Amino acid sequence: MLTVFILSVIFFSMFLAAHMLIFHFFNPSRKFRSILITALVFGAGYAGFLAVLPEEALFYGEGSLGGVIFERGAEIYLYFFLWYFYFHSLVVVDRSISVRMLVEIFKSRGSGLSLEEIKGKYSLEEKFSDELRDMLFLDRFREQGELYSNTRKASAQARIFRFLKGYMNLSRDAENNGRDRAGK
Amino acid sequence: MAGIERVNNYTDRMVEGMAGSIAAVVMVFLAAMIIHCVYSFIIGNRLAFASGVRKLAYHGALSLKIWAILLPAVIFSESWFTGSGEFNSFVGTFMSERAVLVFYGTVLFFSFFFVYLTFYYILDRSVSSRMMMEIERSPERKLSLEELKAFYGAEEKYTQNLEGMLDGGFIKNGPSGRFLCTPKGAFVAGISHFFKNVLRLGPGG
Repeated sequence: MLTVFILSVIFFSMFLAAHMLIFHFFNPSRKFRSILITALVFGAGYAGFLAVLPEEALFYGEGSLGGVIFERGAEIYLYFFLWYFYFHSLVVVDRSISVRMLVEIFKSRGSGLSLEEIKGKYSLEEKFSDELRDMLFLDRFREQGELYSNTRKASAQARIFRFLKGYMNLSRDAENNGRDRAGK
Repeated sequence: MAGIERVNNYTDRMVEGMAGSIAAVVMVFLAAMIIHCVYSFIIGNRLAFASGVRKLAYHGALSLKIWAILLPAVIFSESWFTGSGEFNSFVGTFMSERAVLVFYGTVLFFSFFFVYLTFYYILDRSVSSRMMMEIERSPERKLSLEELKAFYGAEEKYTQNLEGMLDGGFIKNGPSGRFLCTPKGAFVAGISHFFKNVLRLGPGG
């Protein structure tokens, strides 16, 4: 049983490395689709590997402490993962700009909405001010008169994010460079 | 030979237990979700939050409490599922032991993937992360609200998100520059609209 867990960690690490290298070297224009395809390839590879694994390799040892901890641990992990999944889905439903725009278009029924109508129903200026208030509440920003600066925590986070975005070609500049390279 | 048989017997029992675990976890998950929705719907109108993060923190804590309270139900219902032979024979009719194992492993792999996706979403799309990075990049490492807005480009964000949804097949171009939901988009929007209403989250965004 432990084999299942160890293999899933190994295959997930392989997926992560492949996905980051693909973004770095090939800068795909449809990024989300690229992540999804990479995950499906490695997920299918992992499932296939499990399907042909000899029965003996799945044996951990009846009654052994490791076996018991793993079995119960896996169950609790799955249960709380579903909480994480549910809560994160709520975060996306509540906070996502795309979801809000999609719901506004949906509520218009068959008639649809133009860009100007969407702007009238959903102000990104307001969203921006709300985010700023949240950042102050979360102790990420410091207010100095009319100016805002990062706290130490936010500064470290921003540097890590900047590096990752640069490496994975996720920054806007990198996206433009990628389009130039692709001749678009 | 005896060793292999012992392994097989143990594996049989383990996989039966695993199918029971998955069934118990899914059942209790659904119960917890319904309790959270009903509770939020009933008391949601009486709540007011100073910011969006406080609202989400409230829902996070509330749902986690419900999950924790119902945890023993997973253990009890698991034995209910595996205790009678009916469940195991029911699983056995459409899934081999190996298939249960592969299914469980695949769920595990994609759970890691989902956790990574949430990180990727923050890295790539989050407005707050972008604000932090813009401040860090500025010469004085300080920006006003107006400067942040200018760096961020609200106008561009509208177009970027609409293009993303067009690419993903959630919306399509309609007559006279209007955007319409595709069936896929209507499905996602319908579920989102439902949860926004039931949990009384407000329009959000």
